[in-house]
Amino acid sequence: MTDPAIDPLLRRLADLPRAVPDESRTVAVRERCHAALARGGAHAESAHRTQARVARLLELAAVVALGVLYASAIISQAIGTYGAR
Amino acid sequence: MDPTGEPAIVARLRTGDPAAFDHVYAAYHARLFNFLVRLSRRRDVAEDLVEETWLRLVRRAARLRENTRLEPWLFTVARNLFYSYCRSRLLEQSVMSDLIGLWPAGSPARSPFEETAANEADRRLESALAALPAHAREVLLLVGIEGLAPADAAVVCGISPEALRQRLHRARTLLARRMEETTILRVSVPKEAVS
Repeated sequence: MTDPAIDPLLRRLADLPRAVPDESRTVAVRERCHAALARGGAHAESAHRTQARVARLLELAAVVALGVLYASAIISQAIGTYGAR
Repeated sequence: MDPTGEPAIVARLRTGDPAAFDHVYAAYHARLFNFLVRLSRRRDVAEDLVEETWLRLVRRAARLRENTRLEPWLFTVARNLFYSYCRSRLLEQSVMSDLIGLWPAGSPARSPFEETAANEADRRLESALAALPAHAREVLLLVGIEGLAPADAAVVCGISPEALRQRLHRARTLLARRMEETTILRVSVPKEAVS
């Protein structure tokens, strides 16, 4: 079976001249990727902020709901106790 | 790229660190281009596909797994983009001759390899390699030229390591045969010219 480390034909392949990418295009691609990375980072940050805001709102809503439940339970108990007289 | 430092680079990539991206880009850009230009046999196509490969990395950077190995990941994306390109060309033109035949027909410029191959032996090897079917060429490019470990090349090609070993063996045999054929042709030409 072919062993890339010792096969002379595969070693000759490795010695072939390499195709070199165009320098200006290489720079342009890198800049495009940097811009995309920055957009991705900004997007992730804004998504994180939105998530935090939603979590705070849910927490507040839960506190208010529990408060209303507690108050209504007190009121209904009071009516039950004093309303029967 | 140092494999021991790769998890740290991947972690930085996931946070969108441009310096980490530059590190990966410097390590793999030329190699990916070299792989794609020989796989597609078109410099312009390779330029487009390598750009799309990098954009894919950037778009998916945040979702990379911690243990992602960048070399097989990048070569897999590049290879898949090439085959997607082939499929789209098939749909557009209903011909594959431009892609899996010899050098692109009617190409106005000489291939980069014809220009850069320093000697006759290299030129013959380049021609024989270019004439192979894509599935044979890709394993020779990955293992022989880009130096991927056979196990990694198997991941890139989406086959088992054993299947890759067999494919590599067949591709190598095919390449040697093509080279012999070109040698015989070259030797026979002067004899015919004399008679």
